[in-house]
Amino acid sequence: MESLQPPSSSSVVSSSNSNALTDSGQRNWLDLPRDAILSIFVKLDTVDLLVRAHNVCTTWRNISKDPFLYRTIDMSNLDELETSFELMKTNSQLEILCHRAIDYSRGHAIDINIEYFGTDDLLSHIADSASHLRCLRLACCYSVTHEGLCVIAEKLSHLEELDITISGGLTHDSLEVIGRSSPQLKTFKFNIEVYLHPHIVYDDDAFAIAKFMPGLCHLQLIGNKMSNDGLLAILDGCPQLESLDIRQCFNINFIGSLAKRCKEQIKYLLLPNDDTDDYPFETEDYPEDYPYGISDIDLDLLSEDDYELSDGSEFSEFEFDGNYYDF
Amino acid sequence: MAEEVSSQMNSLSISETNPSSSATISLVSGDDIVFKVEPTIAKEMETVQSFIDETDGKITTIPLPNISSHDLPYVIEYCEKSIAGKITKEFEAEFVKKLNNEEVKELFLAANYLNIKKLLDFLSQVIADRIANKSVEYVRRYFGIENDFTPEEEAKLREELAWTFTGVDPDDEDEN
Repeated sequence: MESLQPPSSSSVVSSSNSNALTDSGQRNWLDLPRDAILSIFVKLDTVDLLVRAHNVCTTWRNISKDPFLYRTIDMSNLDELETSFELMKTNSQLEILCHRAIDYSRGHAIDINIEYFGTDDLLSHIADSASHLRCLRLACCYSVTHEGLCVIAEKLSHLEELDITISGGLTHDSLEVIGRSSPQLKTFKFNIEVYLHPHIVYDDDAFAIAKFMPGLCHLQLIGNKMSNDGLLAILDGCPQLESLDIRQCFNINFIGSLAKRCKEQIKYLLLPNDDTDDYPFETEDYPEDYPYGISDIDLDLLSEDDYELSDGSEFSEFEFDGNYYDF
Repeated sequence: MAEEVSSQMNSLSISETNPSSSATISLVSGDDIVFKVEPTIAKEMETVQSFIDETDGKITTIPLPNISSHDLPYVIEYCEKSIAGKITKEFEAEFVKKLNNEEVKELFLAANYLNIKKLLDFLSQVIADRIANKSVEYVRRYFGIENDFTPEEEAKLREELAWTFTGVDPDDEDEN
Protein backbone atom coordinates (compact mmCIF):
# COMPACT_ATOMS: atom_id res chain seq x y z
CA MET A 1 0.00 0.00 0.00
CA GLU A 2 1.41 3.33 -0.92
CA SER A 3 1.68 5.83 1.85
CA LEU A 4 -0.49 8.84 1.79
CA GLN A 5 0.87 12.18 0.84
CA PRO A 6 1.61 13.81 4.17
CA PRO A 7 0.16 17.21 4.74
CA SER A 8 2.80 19.86 4.35
CA SER A 9 4.19 20.87 7.68
CA SER A 10 3.42 24.52 7.21
CA SER A 11 -0.25 23.84 6.61
CA VAL A 12 -0.42 21.67 9.69
CA VAL A 13 1.08 24.35 11.84
CA SER A 14 -1.09 27.07 10.43
CA SER A 15 -4.27 25.03 10.79
CA SER A 16 -3.46 24.06 14.34
CA ASN A 17 -6.09 26.26 15.87
CA SER A 18 -8.91 24.30 14.30
CA ASN A 19 -7.73 21.22 16.12
CA ALA A 20 -7.35 22.90 19.46
CA LEU A 21 -9.06 21.51 22.47
CA THR A 22 -12.57 22.73 22.89
CA ASP A 23 -13.84 23.94 26.22
CA SER A 24 -15.13 20.50 27.04
CA GLY A 25 -11.75 18.92 26.37
CA GLN A 26 -13.10 17.02 23.35
CA ARG A 27 -11.77 17.39 19.86
CA ASN A 28 -13.96 17.34 16.86
CA TRP A 29 -13.07 14.47 14.55
CA LEU A 30 -14.69 16.19 11.64
CA ASP A 31 -12.04 18.92 11.86
CA LEU A 32 -9.36 16.43 10.94
CA PRO A 33 -7.66 17.02 7.63
CA ARG A 34 -8.97 14.88 4.83
CA ASP A 35 -5.57 13.16 4.55
CA ALA A 36 -5.75 11.99 8.16
CA ILE A 37 -9.19 10.49 7.66
CA LEU A 38 -7.96 8.89 4.46
CA SER A 39 -5.09 7.31 6.36
CA ILE A 40 -7.69 5.51 8.48
CA PHE A 41 -10.00 4.69 5.61
CA VAL A 42 -7.24 3.17 3.54
CA LYS A 43 -6.86 0.52 6.23
CA LEU A 44 -10.49 -0.55 5.88
CA ASP A 45 -11.51 -3.25 3.48
CA THR A 46 -13.86 -2.41 0.67
CA VAL A 47 -17.03 -3.61 2.40
CA ASP A 48 -16.27 -1.65 5.59
CA LEU A 49 -15.66 1.43 3.50
CA LEU A 50 -18.89 1.13 1.58
CA VAL A 51 -21.27 0.12 4.34
CA ARG A 52 -19.72 1.80 7.39
CA ALA A 53 -17.47 4.77 6.59
CA HIS A 54 -19.82 5.70 3.75
CA ASN A 55 -22.86 5.87 6.02
CA VAL A 56 -21.62 7.68 9.11
CA CYS A 57 -22.11 11.28 8.01
CA THR A 58 -21.98 13.51 4.96
CA THR A 59 -18.31 14.44 5.41
CA TRP A 60 -17.21 10.84 5.75
CA ARG A 61 -19.40 9.84 2.84
CA ASN A 62 -17.63 12.34 0.62
CA ILE A 63 -14.19 11.22 1.78
CA SER A 64 -15.12 7.56 1.38
CA LYS A 65 -15.63 8.16 -2.34
CA ASP A 66 -11.98 9.07 -2.89
CA PRO A 67 -10.64 7.05 -5.85
CA PHE A 68 -7.42 6.51 -3.90
CA LEU A 69 -9.33 4.12 -1.62
CA TYR A 70 -10.44 1.88 -4.47
CA ARG A 71 -7.21 1.12 -6.24
CA THR A 72 -7.51 -2.21 -4.49
CA ILE A 73 -11.04 -3.57 -4.33
CA ASP A 74 -10.96 -6.61 -2.10
CA MET A 75 -14.27 -8.34 -1.58
CA SER A 76 -13.01 -11.75 -0.63
CA ASN A 77 -13.15 -13.68 2.61
CA LEU A 78 -16.76 -12.84 3.20
CA ASP A 79 -17.46 -16.22 4.71
CA GLU A 80 -19.22 -14.72 7.68
CA LEU A 81 -21.70 -13.10 5.36
CA GLU A 82 -22.15 -16.35 3.55
CA THR A 83 -23.32 -18.09 6.65
CA SER A 84 -25.17 -15.22 8.24
CA PHE A 85 -27.41 -14.22 5.41
CA GLU A 86 -29.47 -15.62 2.69
CA LEU A 87 -26.85 -16.33 0.09
CA MET A 88 -28.49 -15.08 -3.07
CA LYS A 89 -29.65 -11.87 -1.54
CA THR A 90 -26.26 -11.19 -0.06
CA ASN A 91 -24.54 -11.90 -3.33
CA SER A 92 -26.71 -9.45 -5.21
CA GLN A 93 -26.03 -6.82 -2.52
CA LEU A 94 -22.32 -7.48 -2.78
CA GLU A 95 -22.52 -7.11 -6.51
CA ILE A 96 -24.19 -3.71 -6.10
CA LEU A 97 -21.47 -2.68 -3.67
CA CYS A 98 -18.75 -3.86 -6.01
CA HIS A 99 -20.33 -1.88 -8.84
CA ARG A 100 -20.21 1.16 -6.61
CA ALA A 101 -16.58 0.58 -5.62
CA ILE A 102 -15.64 0.36 -9.29
CA ASP A 103 -17.51 3.60 -9.99
CA TYR A 104 -15.73 5.37 -7.13
CA SER A 105 -12.36 4.14 -8.38
CA ARG A 106 -12.86 6.33 -11.48
CA GLY A 107 -10.77 4.02 -13.57
CA HIS A 108 -7.91 3.81 -11.08
CA ALA A 109 -8.57 0.29 -9.80
CA ILE A 110 -5.51 -1.87 -10.29
CA ASP A 111 -6.40 -4.89 -8.18
CA ILE A 112 -9.86 -6.46 -7.87
CA ASN A 113 -10.58 -9.54 -5.81
CA ILE A 114 -14.03 -11.10 -5.90
CA GLU A 115 -15.33 -14.26 -4.31
CA TYR A 116 -18.63 -15.98 -5.12
CA PHE A 117 -20.73 -13.06 -6.35
CA GLY A 118 -19.02 -12.28 -9.66
CA THR A 119 -21.26 -12.28 -12.73
CA ASP A 120 -20.82 -11.53 -16.43
CA ASP A 121 -22.56 -8.22 -15.84
CA LEU A 122 -20.08 -7.25 -13.14
CA LEU A 123 -17.17 -8.33 -15.32
CA SER A 124 -18.49 -6.19 -18.11
CA HIS A 125 -18.63 -3.22 -15.75
CA ILE A 126 -15.06 -3.90 -14.68
CA ALA A 127 -13.93 -4.11 -18.28
CA ASP A 128 -15.60 -0.82 -19.15
CA SER A 129 -14.41 1.06 -16.06
CA ALA A 130 -11.07 -0.36 -14.96
CA SER A 131 -8.86 -0.14 -17.97
CA HIS A 132 -5.70 -0.02 -15.85
CA LEU A 133 -6.51 -3.21 -13.99
CA ARG A 134 -3.39 -5.29 -13.46
CA CYS A 135 -4.61 -7.97 -11.10
CA LEU A 136 -7.96 -9.77 -11.07
CA ARG A 137 -9.09 -12.63 -8.89
CA LEU A 138 -12.40 -14.40 -9.38
CA ALA A 139 -12.83 -17.21 -6.90
CA CYS A 140 -15.85 -19.48 -6.97
CA CYS A 141 -17.67 -17.15 -9.35
CA TYR A 142 -19.86 -19.85 -10.81
CA SER A 143 -21.99 -17.37 -12.76
CA VAL A 144 -19.12 -16.19 -14.91
CA THR A 145 -19.29 -17.67 -18.39
CA HIS A 146 -16.85 -18.09 -21.22
CA GLU A 147 -18.55 -15.29 -23.15
CA GLY A 148 -18.41 -12.97 -20.16
CA LEU A 149 -14.73 -13.59 -19.76
CA CYS A 150 -14.11 -12.93 -23.45
CA VAL A 151 -15.55 -9.45 -23.01
CA ILE A 152 -13.37 -8.59 -20.04
CA ALA A 153 -10.22 -10.16 -21.45
CA GLU A 154 -10.40 -8.12 -24.64
CA LYS A 155 -10.63 -4.87 -22.72
CA LEU A 156 -8.07 -5.60 -20.05
CA SER A 157 -4.88 -5.77 -21.99
CA HIS A 158 -2.89 -4.49 -18.97
CA LEU A 159 -3.73 -7.59 -16.94
CA GLU A 160 -0.60 -9.08 -15.40
CA GLU A 161 -2.17 -11.40 -12.89
CA LEU A 162 -5.33 -13.45 -13.23
CA ASP A 163 -6.67 -15.93 -10.72
CA ILE A 164 -9.68 -18.00 -11.68
CA THR A 165 -10.05 -20.41 -8.85
CA ILE A 166 -12.98 -22.77 -9.25
CA SER A 167 -15.13 -21.49 -12.06
CA GLY A 168 -18.37 -22.78 -13.48
CA GLY A 169 -18.29 -22.17 -17.18
CA LEU A 170 -14.73 -21.59 -18.26
CA THR A 171 -12.90 -23.96 -20.56
CA HIS A 172 -9.63 -24.25 -22.42
CA ASP A 173 -11.19 -21.95 -25.03
CA SER A 174 -11.40 -19.29 -22.33
CA LEU A 175 -7.71 -19.75 -21.68
CA GLU A 176 -6.96 -19.11 -25.34
CA VAL A 177 -8.96 -15.87 -25.28
CA ILE A 178 -7.22 -14.73 -22.10
CA GLY A 179 -3.81 -15.55 -23.48
CA ARG A 180 -4.43 -13.73 -26.75
CA SER A 181 -5.91 -10.61 -25.10
CA SER A 182 -3.51 -10.24 -22.21
CA PRO A 183 0.01 -10.42 -23.59
CA GLN A 184 1.44 -9.05 -20.34
CA LEU A 185 0.02 -11.83 -18.23
CA LYS A 186 2.74 -13.02 -15.85
CA THR A 187 0.78 -14.87 -13.21
CA PHE A 188 -2.07 -17.23 -13.93
CA LYS A 189 -4.03 -19.40 -11.56
CA PHE A 190 -6.67 -21.78 -12.83
CA ASN A 191 -7.56 -24.07 -9.99
CA ILE A 192 -10.46 -26.50 -10.20
CA GLU A 193 -12.38 -28.83 -7.96
CA VAL A 194 -10.08 -31.69 -7.19
CA TYR A 195 -12.78 -34.25 -6.57
CA LEU A 196 -14.42 -34.02 -9.99
CA HIS A 197 -13.68 -36.94 -12.33
CA PRO A 198 -10.47 -37.87 -10.57
CA HIS A 199 -9.13 -40.33 -13.11
CA ILE A 200 -10.05 -38.62 -16.38
CA VAL A 201 -7.02 -37.27 -18.16
CA TYR A 202 -7.58 -33.86 -19.70
CA ASP A 203 -4.67 -31.99 -21.22
CA ASP A 204 -6.44 -29.26 -23.19
CA ASP A 205 -6.06 -26.64 -20.42
CA ALA A 206 -2.34 -27.27 -20.29
CA PHE A 207 -2.00 -27.21 -24.07
CA ALA A 208 -3.89 -23.89 -24.25
CA ILE A 209 -1.65 -22.39 -21.57
CA ALA A 210 1.46 -23.65 -23.34
CA LYS A 211 0.36 -22.22 -26.65
CA PHE A 212 -1.23 -18.91 -25.70
CA MET A 213 0.49 -17.80 -22.50
CA PRO A 214 4.18 -18.02 -23.35
CA GLY A 215 5.19 -15.15 -21.06
CA LEU A 216 4.01 -16.70 -17.81
CA CYS A 217 6.33 -16.60 -14.81
CA HIS A 218 3.98 -18.05 -12.22
CA LEU A 219 1.41 -20.75 -12.80
CA GLN A 220 -0.92 -22.47 -10.37
CA LEU A 221 -3.09 -25.34 -11.55
CA ILE A 222 -4.34 -27.04 -8.41
CA GLY A 223 -6.50 -30.06 -9.19
CA ASN A 224 -5.89 -29.96 -12.94
CA LYS A 225 -6.44 -33.25 -14.78
CA MET A 226 -3.44 -32.94 -17.05
CA SER A 227 -1.05 -35.78 -17.65
CA ASN A 228 2.68 -35.73 -18.23
CA ASP A 229 2.01 -34.60 -21.80
CA GLY A 230 0.28 -31.47 -20.55
CA LEU A 231 3.04 -30.71 -18.09
CA LEU A 232 5.70 -31.19 -20.73
CA ALA A 233 3.84 -28.86 -23.09
CA ILE A 234 3.79 -26.18 -20.38
CA LEU A 235 7.51 -26.57 -19.75
CA ASP A 236 8.15 -26.20 -23.47
CA GLY A 237 5.65 -23.40 -24.05
CA CYS A 238 6.42 -21.20 -21.04
CA PRO A 239 10.21 -20.87 -20.90
CA GLN A 240 10.11 -18.03 -18.35
CA LEU A 241 8.18 -20.03 -15.81
CA GLU A 242 9.73 -19.63 -12.35
CA SER A 243 7.09 -21.08 -10.12
CA LEU A 244 4.70 -23.91 -10.81
CA ASP A 245 2.06 -25.33 -8.50
CA ILE A 246 0.62 -28.65 -9.64
CA ARG A 247 -0.71 -29.78 -6.31
CA GLN A 248 -3.56 -32.26 -6.51
CA CYS A 249 -2.82 -32.96 -10.19
CA PHE A 250 -2.99 -36.68 -9.63
CA ASN A 251 -2.75 -37.65 -13.29
CA ILE A 252 0.83 -36.52 -13.44
CA ASN A 253 3.40 -39.21 -12.98
CA PHE A 254 6.14 -37.14 -11.53
CA ILE A 255 9.24 -39.21 -12.11
CA GLY A 256 12.11 -39.75 -14.46
CA SER A 257 13.25 -37.22 -17.01
CA LEU A 258 10.14 -35.09 -16.62
CA ALA A 259 10.74 -34.70 -12.90
CA LYS A 260 14.38 -33.92 -13.52
CA ARG A 261 13.57 -31.32 -16.12
CA CYS A 262 10.92 -29.73 -13.91
CA LYS A 263 13.38 -29.41 -11.13
CA GLU A 264 15.97 -27.85 -13.39
CA GLN A 265 13.63 -25.40 -15.08
CA ILE A 266 11.35 -24.36 -12.22
CA LYS A 267 12.62 -22.49 -9.21
CA TYR A 268 9.61 -22.92 -6.96
CA LEU A 269 7.79 -26.17 -7.51
CA LEU A 270 4.82 -27.61 -5.64
CA LEU A 271 4.03 -31.23 -6.44
CA PRO A 272 0.77 -33.19 -6.65
CA ASN A 273 0.68 -34.44 -3.10
CA ASP A 274 2.32 -31.49 -1.40
CA ASP A 275 0.52 -29.92 1.51
CA THR A 276 -2.49 -27.73 0.64
CA ASP A 277 -3.06 -26.06 4.00
CA ASP A 278 -2.61 -22.62 2.48
CA TYR A 279 -5.29 -23.28 -0.12
CA PRO A 280 -8.70 -22.21 1.18
CA PHE A 281 -10.83 -24.49 -0.94
CA GLU A 282 -11.58 -28.15 -0.77
CA THR A 283 -8.81 -30.59 -1.57
CA GLU A 284 -8.37 -34.32 -1.31
CA ASP A 285 -6.02 -36.41 0.65
CA TYR A 286 -3.70 -38.38 -1.45
CA PRO A 287 -5.94 -40.99 -3.08
CA GLU A 288 -5.41 -44.53 -1.88
CA ASP A 289 -5.64 -46.11 -5.29
CA TYR A 290 -3.36 -43.61 -6.89
CA PRO A 291 -0.19 -45.24 -8.14
CA TYR A 292 2.22 -42.35 -8.32
CA GLY A 293 2.96 -41.66 -4.72
CA ILE A 294 6.59 -40.83 -5.16
CA SER A 295 6.90 -37.11 -5.33
CA ASP A 296 8.18 -37.03 -1.79
CA ILE A 297 11.20 -38.97 -2.88
CA ASP A 298 14.24 -36.86 -3.41
CA LEU A 299 14.26 -36.16 -7.10
CA ASP A 300 17.99 -36.58 -7.21
CA LEU A 301 17.50 -40.23 -6.55
CA LEU A 302 15.35 -40.67 -9.59
CA SER A 303 16.58 -41.42 -13.03
CA GLU A 304 14.92 -42.58 -16.20
CA ASP A 305 15.43 -46.17 -15.10
CA ASP A 306 13.53 -45.72 -11.91
CA TYR A 307 10.14 -45.10 -13.34
CA GLU A 308 8.89 -48.62 -13.05
CA LEU A 309 7.19 -48.62 -9.74
CA SER A 310 8.19 -51.31 -7.38
CA ASP A 311 4.63 -51.92 -6.30
CA GLY A 312 3.79 -53.11 -9.82
CA SER A 313 0.77 -50.88 -9.94
CA GLU A 314 -1.82 -51.84 -12.47
CA PHE A 315 -2.05 -48.23 -13.57
CA SER A 316 1.50 -47.99 -14.78
CA GLU A 317 0.82 -49.59 -18.13
CA PHE A 318 -1.64 -46.86 -19.06
CA GLU A 319 0.89 -44.19 -18.45
CA PHE A 320 4.27 -45.32 -19.54
CA ASP A 321 3.57 -46.70 -22.98
CA GLY A 322 2.20 -43.32 -23.95
CA ASN A 323 -1.35 -44.52 -24.49
CA TYR A 324 -3.78 -42.97 -22.10
CA TYR A 325 -6.64 -44.71 -20.55
CA ASP A 326 -9.48 -44.31 -22.95
CA PHE A 327 -12.70 -43.33 -21.28
CA MET B 1 9.86 8.53 29.64
CA ALA B 2 10.76 12.16 29.18
CA GLU B 3 11.78 14.21 32.10
CA GLU B 4 8.93 16.40 33.15
CA VAL B 5 9.78 19.86 34.25
CA SER B 6 7.26 22.43 35.28
CA SER B 7 7.20 25.17 32.81
CA GLN B 8 8.84 28.33 33.93
CA MET B 9 7.84 30.24 30.88
CA ASN B 10 4.79 31.11 28.98
CA SER B 11 4.38 28.29 26.49
CA LEU B 12 3.35 30.66 23.75
CA SER B 13 6.55 32.67 23.90
CA ILE B 14 9.51 31.36 22.03
CA SER B 15 12.80 31.65 23.79
CA GLU B 16 15.87 32.07 21.69
CA THR B 17 18.87 30.13 22.86
CA ASN B 18 22.23 29.46 21.41
CA PRO B 19 21.98 26.09 19.68
CA SER B 20 25.51 25.10 20.67
CA SER B 21 24.76 25.48 24.34
CA SER B 22 21.56 23.46 24.26
CA ALA B 23 21.59 19.85 23.13
CA THR B 24 17.99 19.15 24.00
CA ILE B 25 14.73 20.34 22.57
CA SER B 26 12.00 21.55 24.89
CA LEU B 27 8.49 20.56 23.92
CA VAL B 28 5.84 22.53 25.76
CA SER B 29 2.47 20.87 26.10
CA GLY B 30 -0.83 22.69 25.87
CA ASP B 31 -1.04 22.77 29.66
CA ASP B 32 2.41 24.31 29.96
CA ILE B 33 4.49 21.33 30.93
CA VAL B 34 7.97 21.22 29.41
CA PHE B 35 9.35 17.93 28.10
CA LYS B 36 13.03 17.93 27.28
CA VAL B 37 13.86 15.52 24.49
CA GLU B 38 16.90 14.63 22.43
CA PRO B 39 17.12 16.25 18.99
CA THR B 40 16.74 12.79 17.44
CA ILE B 41 13.25 12.60 18.95
CA ALA B 42 12.38 15.94 17.41
CA LYS B 43 13.50 14.61 14.05
CA GLU B 44 10.77 11.97 14.24
CA MET B 45 8.24 14.78 14.56
CA GLU B 46 8.33 16.41 11.16
CA THR B 47 6.29 19.37 12.24
CA VAL B 48 8.70 20.11 15.08
CA GLN B 49 11.78 19.48 12.97
CA SER B 50 10.67 21.77 10.18
CA PHE B 51 9.98 24.43 12.80
CA ILE B 52 13.55 24.04 14.08
CA ASP B 53 14.95 24.04 10.55
CA GLU B 54 13.07 27.17 9.59
CA THR B 55 14.79 29.04 12.41
CA ASP B 56 18.22 27.56 11.67
CA GLY B 57 18.20 25.69 14.95
CA LYS B 58 18.10 28.83 17.02
CA ILE B 59 14.78 27.97 18.52
CA THR B 60 14.76 24.89 20.70
CA THR B 61 11.61 25.47 22.70
CA ILE B 62 8.56 24.41 20.77
CA PRO B 63 5.05 25.13 21.98
CA LEU B 64 2.59 22.36 21.16
CA PRO B 65 -0.70 23.89 22.25
CA ASN B 66 -2.77 21.04 20.82
CA ILE B 67 -1.11 18.28 22.80
CA SER B 68 -1.68 17.74 26.49
CA SER B 69 0.89 16.65 29.03
CA HIS B 70 -1.12 13.47 29.39
CA ASP B 71 -0.61 12.46 25.74
CA LEU B 72 2.85 13.82 24.95
CA PRO B 73 4.74 11.16 26.98
CA TYR B 74 3.09 8.44 24.91
CA VAL B 75 4.18 10.15 21.71
CA ILE B 76 7.72 10.54 23.01
CA GLU B 77 7.82 6.92 24.16
CA TYR B 78 6.80 5.73 20.71
CA CYS B 79 9.39 7.95 19.03
CA GLU B 80 12.12 6.69 21.35
CA LYS B 81 11.26 3.08 20.50
CA SER B 82 11.13 3.97 16.84
CA ILE B 83 14.61 5.49 16.89
CA ALA B 84 15.94 2.47 18.75
CA GLY B 85 14.42 0.25 16.06
CA LYS B 86 12.34 -1.49 18.69
CA ILE B 87 8.86 -1.11 17.26
CA THR B 88 7.61 -4.67 17.34
CA LYS B 89 4.14 -6.14 17.13
CA GLU B 90 4.43 -6.97 20.81
CA PHE B 91 5.40 -3.43 21.74
CA GLU B 92 2.54 -2.01 19.70
CA ALA B 93 0.06 -4.43 21.25
CA GLU B 94 1.21 -3.44 24.75
CA PHE B 95 1.23 0.22 23.79
CA VAL B 96 -2.34 0.24 22.57
CA LYS B 97 -3.53 -1.88 25.49
CA LYS B 98 -2.68 0.99 27.80
CA LEU B 99 -4.91 3.38 25.87
CA ASN B 100 -8.63 3.88 26.11
CA ASN B 101 -10.67 4.98 23.12
CA GLU B 102 -10.35 8.64 23.97
CA GLU B 103 -6.59 8.39 24.28
CA VAL B 104 -6.30 6.58 20.97
CA LYS B 105 -8.16 9.44 19.35
CA GLU B 106 -6.02 12.07 21.09
CA LEU B 107 -2.79 10.35 20.09
CA PHE B 108 -3.96 9.98 16.53
CA LEU B 109 -4.64 13.70 16.39
CA ALA B 110 -1.27 14.39 17.99
CA ALA B 111 0.52 12.12 15.51
CA ASN B 112 -1.29 13.84 12.69
CA TYR B 113 -0.44 17.28 14.03
CA LEU B 114 3.21 16.39 14.62
CA ASN B 115 3.34 14.45 11.35
CA ILE B 116 4.93 11.31 12.79
CA LYS B 117 4.39 8.89 9.95
CA LYS B 118 4.96 5.60 11.73
CA LEU B 119 2.78 6.48 14.69
CA LEU B 120 0.07 7.83 12.38
CA ASP B 121 0.15 4.67 10.33
CA PHE B 122 -0.01 2.46 13.40
CA LEU B 123 -2.87 4.39 15.00
CA SER B 124 -4.74 4.50 11.69
CA GLN B 125 -4.76 0.72 11.78
CA VAL B 126 -5.84 0.66 15.41
CA ILE B 127 -8.75 2.97 14.66
CA ALA B 128 -9.67 1.13 11.46
CA ASP B 129 -9.83 -2.08 13.49
CA ARG B 130 -12.35 -0.36 15.75
CA ILE B 131 -14.55 0.56 12.78
CA ALA B 132 -14.33 -2.75 10.94
CA ASN B 133 -17.47 -4.84 11.18
CA LYS B 134 -19.11 -2.53 13.72
CA SER B 135 -22.50 -0.92 13.42
CA VAL B 136 -22.68 2.55 11.94
CA GLU B 137 -24.21 3.73 15.20
CA TYR B 138 -21.22 2.46 17.12
CA VAL B 139 -18.81 4.23 14.78
CA ARG B 140 -20.72 7.49 15.18
CA ARG B 141 -20.60 7.15 18.95
CA TYR B 142 -16.92 6.26 18.96
CA PHE B 143 -16.00 9.29 16.90
CA GLY B 144 -18.60 11.57 18.42
CA ILE B 145 -20.08 12.27 15.00
CA GLU B 146 -23.67 13.41 14.55
CA ASN B 147 -25.78 11.68 11.95
CA ASP B 148 -26.44 14.53 9.53
CA PHE B 149 -28.29 12.59 6.85
CA THR B 150 -31.80 13.63 6.05
CA PRO B 151 -34.54 11.22 7.12
CA GLU B 152 -35.04 10.42 3.43
CA GLU B 153 -31.37 9.57 2.96
CA GLU B 154 -31.40 7.49 6.12
CA ALA B 155 -34.47 5.55 5.04
CA LYS B 156 -33.00 4.87 1.61
CA LEU B 157 -29.81 3.73 3.21
CA ARG B 158 -31.56 1.32 5.54
CA GLU B 159 -33.61 -0.15 2.77
CA GLU B 160 -30.69 -0.54 0.44
CA LEU B 161 -28.31 -2.08 2.89
CA ALA B 162 -30.60 -3.74 5.39
CA TRP B 163 -28.30 -6.73 5.60
CA THR B 164 -25.39 -4.65 6.83
CA PHE B 165 -27.27 -3.48 9.87
CA THR B 166 -27.40 -6.96 11.27
CA GLY B 167 -24.68 -9.46 11.86
CA VAL B 168 -22.10 -6.93 12.95
CA ASP B 169 -19.90 -7.37 15.98
CA PRO B 170 -21.58 -6.47 19.24
CA ASP B 171 -20.73 -2.91 20.12
CA ASP B 172 -17.90 -2.65 22.59
CA GLU B 173 -18.64 -0.85 25.77
CA ASP B 174 -16.88 2.46 25.66
CA GLU B 175 -13.76 2.08 27.70
CA ASN B 176 -13.67 5.58 29.06
